Formats: sequence, C-alpha cells, structure tokens
Amino acid sequence: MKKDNVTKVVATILKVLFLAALIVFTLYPVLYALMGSLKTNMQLVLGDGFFPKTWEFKNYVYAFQKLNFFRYTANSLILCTICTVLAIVVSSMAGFCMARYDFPLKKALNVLYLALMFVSLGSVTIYPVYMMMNKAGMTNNLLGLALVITGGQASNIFLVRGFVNSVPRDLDESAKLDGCGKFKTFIYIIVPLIRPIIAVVGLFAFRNAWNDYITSMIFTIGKKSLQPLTVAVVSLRYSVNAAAEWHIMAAGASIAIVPILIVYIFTNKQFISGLTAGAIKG
Amino acid sequence: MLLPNVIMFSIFTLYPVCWVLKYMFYQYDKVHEPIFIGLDNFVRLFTRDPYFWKTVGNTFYYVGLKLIITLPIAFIVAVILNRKFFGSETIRSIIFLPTIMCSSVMALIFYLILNPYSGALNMILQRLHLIGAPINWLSYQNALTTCVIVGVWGAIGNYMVYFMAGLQSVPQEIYESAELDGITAPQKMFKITIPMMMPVIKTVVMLALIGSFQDMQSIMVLTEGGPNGASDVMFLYIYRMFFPVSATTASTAQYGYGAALSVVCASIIGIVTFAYLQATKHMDDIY
Amino acid sequence: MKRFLALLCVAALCLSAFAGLAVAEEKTKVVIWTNSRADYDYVLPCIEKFNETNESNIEIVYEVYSDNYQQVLELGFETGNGPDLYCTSGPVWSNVTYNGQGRPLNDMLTEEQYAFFGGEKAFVNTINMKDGDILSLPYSISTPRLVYNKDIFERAGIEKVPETFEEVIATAKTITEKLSGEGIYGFAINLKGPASALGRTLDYMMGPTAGLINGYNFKTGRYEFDKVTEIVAFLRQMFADGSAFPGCDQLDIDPLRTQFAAGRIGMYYSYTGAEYGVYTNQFVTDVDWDFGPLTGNGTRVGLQNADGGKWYAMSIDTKVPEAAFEVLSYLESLEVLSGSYEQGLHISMIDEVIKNSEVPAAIQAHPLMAKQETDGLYPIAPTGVAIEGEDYYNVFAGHILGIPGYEDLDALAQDLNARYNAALDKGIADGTVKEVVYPNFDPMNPAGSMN
Repeated sequence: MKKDNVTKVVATILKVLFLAALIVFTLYPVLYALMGSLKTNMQLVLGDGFFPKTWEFKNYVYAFQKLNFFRYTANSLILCTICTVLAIVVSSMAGFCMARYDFPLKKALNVLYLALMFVSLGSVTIYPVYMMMNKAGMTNNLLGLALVITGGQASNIFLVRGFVNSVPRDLDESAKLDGCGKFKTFIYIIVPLIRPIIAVVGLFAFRNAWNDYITSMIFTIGKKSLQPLTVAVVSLRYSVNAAAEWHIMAAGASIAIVPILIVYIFTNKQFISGLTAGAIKG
Repeated sequence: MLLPNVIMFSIFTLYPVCWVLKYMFYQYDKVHEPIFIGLDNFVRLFTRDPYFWKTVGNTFYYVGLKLIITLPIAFIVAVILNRKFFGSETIRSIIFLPTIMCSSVMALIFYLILNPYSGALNMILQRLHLIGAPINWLSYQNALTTCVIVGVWGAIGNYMVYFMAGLQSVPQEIYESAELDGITAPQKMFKITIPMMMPVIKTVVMLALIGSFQDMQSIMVLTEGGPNGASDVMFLYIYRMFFPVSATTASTAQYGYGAALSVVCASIIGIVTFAYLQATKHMDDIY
Repeated sequence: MKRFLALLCVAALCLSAFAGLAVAEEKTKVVIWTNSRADYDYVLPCIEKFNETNESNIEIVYEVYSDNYQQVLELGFETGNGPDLYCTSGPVWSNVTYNGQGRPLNDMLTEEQYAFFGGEKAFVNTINMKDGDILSLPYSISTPRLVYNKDIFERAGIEKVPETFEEVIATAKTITEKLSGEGIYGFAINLKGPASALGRTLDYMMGPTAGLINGYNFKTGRYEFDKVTEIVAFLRQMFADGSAFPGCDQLDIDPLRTQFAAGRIGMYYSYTGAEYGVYTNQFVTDVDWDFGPLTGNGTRVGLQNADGGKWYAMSIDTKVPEAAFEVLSYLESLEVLSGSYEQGLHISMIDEVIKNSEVPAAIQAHPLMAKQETDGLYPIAPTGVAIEGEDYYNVFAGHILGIPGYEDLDALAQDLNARYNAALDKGIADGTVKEVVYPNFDPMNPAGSMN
C-alpha cells in the first residue's frame, strides 16, 4: 500500500513536470513576441531579460503610423471574412447536394474529389492559378486571393456530407410535401441542423486565411497595398531599416497574433470540438 | 447549388494538376516559348540531380523525426488530460494554441530566439551556465533538427486533440471491469488503452504523415532551406524552381522541371501513404 | 441562403469601397520600384516635392523592395503589374532590363541631357545600352571594398590595412586571437544568402585575379571556375582558422552590419555605394570605420568590376512614357543628383555632377569610396543560362563553411565548369541564350572591348 502511494506521488510529479515543460515550450515563443514588441531594440538584440525594462508602446504606434499596419490589418480582416463566407456557402451547398441528390457523373466527381485530396503537388499549383487569375483580371483585389485560398474545398465537402447524412431523410421528405424546393429545404431544414459543422468549416476557413503566407505572398507581389498581415510582417525582415529593428518585427508579429488569439480565447471549445468532429467523421 | 464548388474545384484543384501534367514534358522559362523535350526532365531528375534526392532525404528525416517526437508527446498529453482535473481545460487550450498561429510569423519569432549571434535561447543557456560558447542552432549540422522542433511546436496540439477524441470513444466499462481485476496503471495503458486506440492511432499517423510532407512555410522563413541545403525539403526546392528566391543569383525559373519534380514528389508521398496503409491493414482486423 | 448572399454582397461592397478609395484622384501615376534603401530618407522628400510642385499633374508612387527584388520585378512584369520606372543594376540589369524589359530612351533624351551625362563615352553597350538603344542613364558607380573597424585594428595592434589574401587571413587571425574573449571576431561574411555574400566578394575579386566575370571568360566564351579557386580557398581559410564571426551562415547583410556597428566584427566586404549611407542613416554607429582595398593575390590581370553606368530603367510596358520620362529627368537632374552625392548617398560617375558639387564629406573621410583607376565597368556574362543542380554560389559557400561533401575544391570547380558550359551550349543550341564572345577582350580595359 505504501509503495503504491510512492509510485502515485512520483507519477503525479512526473505528470506535472511534463505538462509544465510542455506549457513553457508552447507559450514561450508567443510571450516572447508579445514581450519583445514592448522592448527597446537594444534590449531585444542583447537578449537582456524576459520582461521589458521600459514599456515601449510606441513600437505599435510606429508600426501603425509609419508602416501602414492599419491597411494590412484591414486587408487580413477583409480576406478572412470573404474566405469564411465563401467556404461556408460553397462547401455546405455542395456537401448537401452530394449527400442528398443523384445526378449524372456523381460517382466520377466523388472519386475525383477523393483522389485529389491526397495528391499534394505543393506550391506548384500557385503558379498556373496565379497566371490564370491574372488573365481574368482577378489579381488586383482581395476577392481573387480569397477565391484561391478557399480553393476546391474537397475535404470540407466530405465533412458536411457526413453531417447531412446523419440528418434523417424523412425531414426533407416532409418538407418537400409541404412544397419546399431544394433551396428552401436546404436553408430551413438542413442548415439549422448542421450548424455545428458549418461553424467548424467557418472557423477553419478563418484560421487558414488569417495564417496563409505563401499564396498571399505570391498574389500580392508588387502590390503592397493588398498585402495581408502575415506577408507584411515577414517582409519587415527585409524592408527599409527594419531588418535590424527586431522590436518592430515583434510588434508586427504581435499585431498578427493578437486578433486570432482573441478569436481563439472565445472559440477554443469550438475549435477543439470541431477538430474532433472532423477527425471522427472525416 | 453544386455549381459554385464544381467551378472552384475545377479552377483551383483540377486545372493546376492538368497544367503540371502537361508542362512536365517541356522546358519552359518565363522568357521563351515552352519547348517540348519529352522525358528529359525525368531523366535529369533521376540521373543528374543529386541535390533533389538530398532534399528528398531531408524531407524523410524531417517527417520521420517530427512524427517520432510529436505523436508520443501528443498521446501522453491526451492520456493525462483525458481525466478531468482542475485546470485541465485551460492546459488543453494552451497546448492547442500553436495550431492557430501563423507558422511563418512564428518562424520569424523563432529566428529571433534561435539565431546564433544574439538569440534569446543561447543567452538563457549561457546565463544558466549550461553552455559555454553560443551554439549555432541553425548550422549545417543542426538546422534541419531545429526546423523539426519548430514543426513539433506547431503540431502537438493538433494531434493531442485527435487522440483525445479517440480516447473518449474507448468505453469506460472496460476500464471499470479491469480495475475490479486489480490491473496496474502501466498494464491499463498497454493492455487496454493502446490496443483500443489502434485504429485512431493509425488514422492520426496517416494524417500526420501527409501533413508533415507538405510543411515548408516555416522552413522557408526560418532557414530558407540553408545553409547549403541542409534544411531544404523537396517542396521548397520545387517552389524555388517557380520562384527563384535570391535577388543576386542569375537564376532562371524552370517551370517544366518544377512540374516534373512535383509529379515525382506527389508520387513519393502517394507511395509512402499506400505502403503505410498496406502495412497497417491488419490493425483494423485484429481490434 | 439569402442571408449568405447578403453577407457576400456586403463583403464585395467593402472591397470595392476599399479599391475605390485608392483611385479617387485623377492623376497620372508613375510607379517606381527600387531596391535602394540607403538613400530612402533623401529621395522621399524629393519625391514629395515633385508630387506637390510638378505641372503635369503627375504623382509618383515610390515603393522600396529588397532581398527578393528581382523576383518581384519579374513577376510584376510577367503579369502586367510592373512599375513604370525601376532601379536596375547587377542581375536585374542582365536578367530583366537587358532581357527585353527596358524601353529605349533615345527618342526622349534631349541633346542637353546626352551631353550632361557625358556624351558618347558614358553610353556603352551592355553597360547601359543594348545594340545602340539607351536603356538607362548613368548615375553612380559602386564596387565592393574591405570594410574595417579602425578601433579594433588599433586594439589588436594592427598597423597596416591588409591588401592580399595572406594579409587578410593573418589580420583576421590576430584580431580573433586577441579579442574573441569579448565576442569580437576578425572577419564576417553574410553567408545566409551565398549569392549576396559571394556576389560582393568572389564576383569582384575574380576580375583582378583572373579577368573573369561570374566565372565566365569573354575571350573564350567558356566558364572557367578553376581559375577562381584561390579566392574561395582564401575565404575558407578564415573559417578553418576560426577567425570568422560565429553564425556567419545565418547572417544577412543587415544583421551583419548591426553587429559591425556594435563593434563586434573586424572586417567584412561591402559596397562603396552603400555602407556610408547605412552607417549614417540606418544603423548609426560610433565605430570608427574605413574602406580598404578589395583583397587580391598581389598581381593584377584585370580591373576591378564596378556596378554603375545605370540607375532607373523604363519598363517596355509603361503606358505613360512621357510622364515617366519627366520623372526620370527630375530624379536624374543636377539638383537631385548633386544633393544625394554631397550627402555621400551615392558616388557619382557623372563629371557634371562632380564638378558642380562640393566634395562630399563622405569621400573626404573615406577616400576609397571614390572611383579608383583600377575600377572599371565589365560587360555582362550570358544571361538565361539554366544550369542543372546547385549554382556556384551555393557550391563555393559549401566549401567555405566546411560542409561535408564540399571538401575537394578542384573537383567542385571542374564539376561547375562542366555543368555551366553544358547549360551554356544547350541554351545557345535551342536559342534561349545569346552567345557572348569578345575575342579581343582585355580585362585591363573591359569597357573598351565592346562598342
């Protein structure tokens, strides 16, 4: 019995240590960015202490006033909004159709979706898409970029389809009897029932758009006024003066981190449960 | 209602695939008209491009090490947090946090922390007298491993959640009856939890495999594949065929070759995935 | 459904409102892209002044890029989103402007301007002209030199500025031996980007020591990397000795400069046209520094290549050539050029500007900033050569850093020769590369061999 207690205590201590180490590992870079954004450059470059010695809020003033971060933040927000809306509308409608209706070539389409979900060509795809969008005149606004980031949505469609399948068919049968068309059935019957998955699709679309770097970078090459935050922050590394101004870089990074952090604090349950749902259904 | 998606799917997913399948047979830069060269891109790739195979090797090292580190940690955290206790939800949220952060921006922060000449990590270690001279975390020998650690940072939360979902699906009754039999904690782990979780683990490993192969955003910002290709992964190499990075190199984009490379990379990933699925096929049957 | 559509509309509206803001005024816009950062604080007020006072209702949009400048330009032009005027130098000149993206200026350039820039001797094929078409106007001249910290030299007891490979190696060693305890090292190089690092050392050292540019011999029309190995071996030696600043493989040029400005680096190489502006405006420093000559092997077979003879080029695609030329004329007017020259932000190569300006304090303090007798403008090596495998920057950087697999320098050079020449031949054969051979090329008078 005593030995048991000892093992238990040791196990608990190990557990606590393990979790503590992990939390430090996880949080340190984030806090470093937040703290760094309030330090003087000298303190940051010399690595002098974790907390700022003087609280330099003017780093942010500088970023917003001189480096146009309002514009980049606005770009990011607009981009995310469009992406989220697009992802939700497009994939929920398509998922609904795939779940409920038969149409010619449905099987072929299904196979295509599934196959291409697993073909990873990497960043190569950006080039032809970019060239095509450019011909269509869609590279001078954020809508074009949003469309590309949203992309084919294959995995989301499977997610939505799985959810729609769990809604009893009797419901739309009876809706049909009441004279509801496809659209009405979708809006009034299906959408309310698949809300959780729509929230998930939306949240993840928001996250992806907010965090996208490579696609956005290529799309906004030569168009500084369209850059989202991520691209602007990373390019700070090489921009006028800022290559060695780490405090401004940290401030830029924090401006990119904080909004998503706030979203996360309020929605982390959905994020996690969404991921879980995705894992189980997908 | 399906139409918007079919259009977007065709443009953004199907069209590039067709484009790649066409131009892999061409020599194509941005100045001159594409020239059809048959299979020469593939001949070059297999016989004259050792650098590409080095990036393939790096990719496998990256993926392998990342999985080996990430998955056990994620699994252990999931097991610990599966039992509710005070603060467990907060801890879960904290550990999940990196998944929502932009990996390129965070790579920038990691660069500030890790760089050898005035990074915070060396400062801390020196102050604690753990090391004497600063360590070059991003040197030829260390760069790839450092990239893995940064990758791990961003990935633990994700897989932790997958595992937690899996753990919740293990019926509690099994544990209860086992406890009546006086089972010990390690036995519980190895005799019940892990076997019951096998299908989940199998899926998670596959997701992690496919996901890790495509990591390049953070490597691109952290090391740009350097020094001397030490941390170059295959997708980054392809990327540079399309968008030659350096302003001072007289580099020329090689779209055709890039297309051929990407087809080969996609095949490599396909083969690995397929082999993995074959190797793990029996798991579902047993449990 | 309706709600979604409504949301979509709102989003689209926001977007168009945003786009609308940007194009509210009806001015002729002239977009300028540049990668020059040191003169930013000088040029910006000039541009603001022009925007407020010009009578042609022109508005200059001035955008600064940096490390991926060429990539940005190429993609911009390829997609029709490029600038009207852009800074051209080095690889941008050879790969972009010379490759078809420059609009000839002959029809707009006035007689007076032609004379102002120096007449016939200032306009040379492949330096700022292509087959008689003037693509850019003379501006500055810049070439790398040794940059050294006088205080560190003094503390380490070094009296003579090193000039040869052996001397630099010895100096770096002495400094490191005496001062590395304080975190001060003899030598640094920004090898995070091998092309940027070797582009300011190897590429310029191979003219005086071997008469080559980019490893290319204009006389024979071949790549001859075996002739540059002594330079690579020299750089390697400082790493082997441990005289190099730790983490050189992670240094970009700007972080290197901050470390130099903090007094932790004895010597490095950089451009006459950049460093003064950098240490007076960007990274203000107390360090007492100066230029020394670019290191050589003691004998000279050619001039030291310099980047110069050009500044802005006009895009072939510009829709507003007249307005762009008016802007160009303003930016290359005596007033603007002289001011920048006097502040030490560029080293003018236009005699009229030098004559009509005071000798800049910068050049008084650092005489080697000025153009020397041994500096000259070389033609450009063939462009568009698509080599297979690693370029010579990466290969040589591998050797310099002592990376496994890159030990045998001679074998590396032979391999480079084989790959570069094969790519060259292939390019010439399929018409993607234009052959460049000057049978009478004389590296001691490189520009003389071309017109």
